[in-house]
Amino acid sequence: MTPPKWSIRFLEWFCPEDLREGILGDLQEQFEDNRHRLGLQKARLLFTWNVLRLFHPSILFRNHLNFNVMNWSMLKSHLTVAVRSMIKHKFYAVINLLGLSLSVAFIFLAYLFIRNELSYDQFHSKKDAICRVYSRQINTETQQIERQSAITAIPLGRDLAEETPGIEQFTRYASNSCIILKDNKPYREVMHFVDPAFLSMFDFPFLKGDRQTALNQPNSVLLSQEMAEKYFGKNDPLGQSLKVTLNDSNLLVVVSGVLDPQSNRSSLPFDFLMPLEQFKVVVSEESFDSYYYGFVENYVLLNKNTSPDELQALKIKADETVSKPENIKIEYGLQALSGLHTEDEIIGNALYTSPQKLYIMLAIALLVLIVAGINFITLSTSHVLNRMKEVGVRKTLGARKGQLKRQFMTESFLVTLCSGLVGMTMARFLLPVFEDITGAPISFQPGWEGIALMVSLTLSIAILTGWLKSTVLVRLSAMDALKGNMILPRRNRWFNESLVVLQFTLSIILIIGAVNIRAQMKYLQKKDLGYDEERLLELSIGEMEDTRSVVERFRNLALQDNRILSVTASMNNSREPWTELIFAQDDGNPEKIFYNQVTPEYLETMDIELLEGEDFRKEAQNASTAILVNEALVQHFGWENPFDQQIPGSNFSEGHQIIGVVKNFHFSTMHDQIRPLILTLDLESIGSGITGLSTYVWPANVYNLVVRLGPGELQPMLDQLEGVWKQVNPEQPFVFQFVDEVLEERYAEERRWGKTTDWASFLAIFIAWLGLMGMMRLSIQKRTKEVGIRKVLGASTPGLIGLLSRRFLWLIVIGNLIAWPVAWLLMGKWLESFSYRIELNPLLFILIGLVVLVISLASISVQSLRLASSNPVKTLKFE
Amino acid sequence: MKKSYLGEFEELVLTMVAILGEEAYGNAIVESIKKELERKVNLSAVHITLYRLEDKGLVKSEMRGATAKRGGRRKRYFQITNTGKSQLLDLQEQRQKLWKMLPKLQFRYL
Repeated sequence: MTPPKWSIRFLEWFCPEDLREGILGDLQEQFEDNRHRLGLQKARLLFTWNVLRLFHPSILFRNHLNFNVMNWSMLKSHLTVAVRSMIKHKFYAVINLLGLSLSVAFIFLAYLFIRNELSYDQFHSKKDAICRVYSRQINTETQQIERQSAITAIPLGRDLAEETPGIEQFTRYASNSCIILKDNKPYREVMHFVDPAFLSMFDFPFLKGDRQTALNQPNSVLLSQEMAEKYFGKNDPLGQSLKVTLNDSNLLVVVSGVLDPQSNRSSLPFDFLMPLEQFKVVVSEESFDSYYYGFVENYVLLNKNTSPDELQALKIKADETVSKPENIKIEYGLQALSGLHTEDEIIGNALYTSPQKLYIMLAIALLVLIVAGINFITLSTSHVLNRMKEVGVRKTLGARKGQLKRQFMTESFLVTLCSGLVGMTMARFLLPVFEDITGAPISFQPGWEGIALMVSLTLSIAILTGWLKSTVLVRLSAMDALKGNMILPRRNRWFNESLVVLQFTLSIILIIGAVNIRAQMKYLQKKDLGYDEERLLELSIGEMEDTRSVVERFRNLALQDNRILSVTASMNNSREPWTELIFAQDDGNPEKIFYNQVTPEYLETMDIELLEGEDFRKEAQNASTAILVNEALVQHFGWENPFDQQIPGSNFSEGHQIIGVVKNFHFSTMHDQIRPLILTLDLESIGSGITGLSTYVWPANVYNLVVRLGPGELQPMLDQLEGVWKQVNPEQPFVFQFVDEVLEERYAEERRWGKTTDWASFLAIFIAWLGLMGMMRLSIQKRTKEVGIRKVLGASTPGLIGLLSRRFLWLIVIGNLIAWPVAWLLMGKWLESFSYRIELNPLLFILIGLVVLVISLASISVQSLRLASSNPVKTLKFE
Repeated sequence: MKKSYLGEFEELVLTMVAILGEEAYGNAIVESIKKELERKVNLSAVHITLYRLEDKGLVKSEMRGATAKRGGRRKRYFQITNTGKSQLLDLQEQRQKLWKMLPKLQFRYL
């Protein structure tokens, strides 16, 4: 008897509201007429036909137009209401905006940092085809990797390229310090040596000169922009000559080009480039054909069709070229340039950033986001209860669910959008601070991806909170809402409270982390190094022929001033890793022992304790055979009486005499254990036993003067030393460093991370605290009347404070209980990378938990105190 | 002012609205077209045209007169506006003008 339901529904769906009544009425009327005239079947068919005919652009278009008009005006009203409610509840608006924008700013900065690190080396067009060759020594019995490094032998690249069809080009990359004269004034610089193919393999932009021929002449040199300006100012550097002193050779080189080293996004830094041939001035001629020494990084350019796995030749080559113990297998492998910057397992001279750093940054950013997000959610959902009356009135006046939902969505969007904008602006202004803390230069160019990321982030927060808020409210009946039944459904309260617990857990973990990182850093700096690093100065001698006599003359002159206590000289300095010698053994296991060549006054100047035996005698009768070893070496070989022993090694032809054992001192970073060490006056005593080495300085000689300064002002002493240096060696610049400062720098990286975690945890706890404040205030407000009644019935103020804070107390305690074990595990893992580390102290954990508890309780109490001490007459009137 | 042009069906519906006066609503228009011109038209087509005319400002509408037969729904009554009337008059005049020209043309072609 009726028209088909579905067609009515269909019509109702697409037809604009204001047309619906008239159209449906007409259709119904016609249906009734038709039913009598044509029968039900046909009438229904006609009805449907008419409905389908009405599905017409002019109706739909009206629909669309109307929809737009209606939505726009509603949106305007929503926005007005949102702004009014924000103004009315300034406290929540500020907490929400502040928390969210801080975290947006931090996340954005973290994103820029990570993107910057990942952009290293990506500008080379052949980045995927260029690989660095590394070597790896594997013990065939235990299958363990004995040693791996990206510093490889000089002939490796050349030989590989000859034998492997898959390799198109190769280049070596080596460096050495040098002195360059400008207007007869010496400057200490770092020279890099490469093959001509370097220029065609890598895409460093050429500013002047010809890429094809620039490195073809042995006496040519390429400069970075910066250096071209330093040495030639505004003049055209092309064709100009430079005087370069490399070791003891003076070279006259001609500038053949200027290029841009892209120093903020290239792992291969350089200021000066010279052809690799000139490296022969630095290292012995034979090392150009020998596989025994690692001096350079070898880069190869693979053919398009070659995959790195196919390069079997790499492995075969290795076994043929080096005589080595039976049970050691040498393998070569490739690392793609595109991943080099974040590779920290096999490292060479190229700059790298540990990927761990990126993960930590990401993790902290996520933590901050979670804490701020939770704030926003808990605050918004509980705050919404304050607006129940509004919702009730709206409902009674006929607001539909969708409308209410849209209202709360609009509010969420408004807040997140504002904080997104504020956060981005904050990020812009905080960038220099952030760069300073992380120590990485970052460009503020968000790019499309960055903007898309931030937009989708804010949008998802807005949608999530808007949805949560509206589901809480819309479900309420109008009656309850109007009565102001400010009670959240039980499930919601659980939800909010577990979020608060999570928030506290995360913040406490961050604080514990920050405190422990700080403690570990302090421990490393305060730990006794085994020598006295204060007022100890290292003066680089530079390469020259008779360093011994220079050292003698300097010492004699310097010691005339009684403020200068002692002078010695050393091969290795405090900045670079020390020389490591390899002694082949009869049984096949090579022994790796650190080495330093010194002058007889070394122990005295460094203030290193001699445990047994005697120091080098100054008369130096036994200079060529006497050696000193450290405790670690004696322990390593398990000697009972070291003075009877010889350093074991199959190649030793001459004997040496251990004359003393020194107390262990830290010559490497605190990350490492103290390893076996030999000190000698010259290399003769043990030279014959050496079968390999890795070192920053070679050949063995003393390269640094070490001066112990007495108490008093530093500057006059430095002036005095500079005067002496000018007398002894007018050719070389006076380049010095204080050992304690170098050590400081060495832990700068860790300290920077300490600082980053400090700030991040401060930020997180601040945001969490804001959230707690907000929650507390809301829950207290809800109980205003109850407090009034309790007071009238004689409750005391402290009792009321206890009553109001109890619930929050529990949340924080639970947060602590979860945080402690998690933080314990995480910190334990981190500390494992240090050989010398603090013990984790459970009391510290508890203390931190207590501090958080006390701070939160204090701020909660202040809030509840206000209410508890107020006049019950007022609170009872509160609506 | 730019003159809007009317299609044949639009003109028909507009005229009917004018003829029916106070009684012009969807079904009435369909019925009277059927009665006067013996032409079967579709209700939905009439509705669509009516709204188009309303958009053009040639008719205006109001809701009144619910009946049980319509499920208690009111009717949307249309009424011709002054613009609508003048447009109809214009059309009429144009026709007249053309009609006057017609015989000459006929001769020329014959």
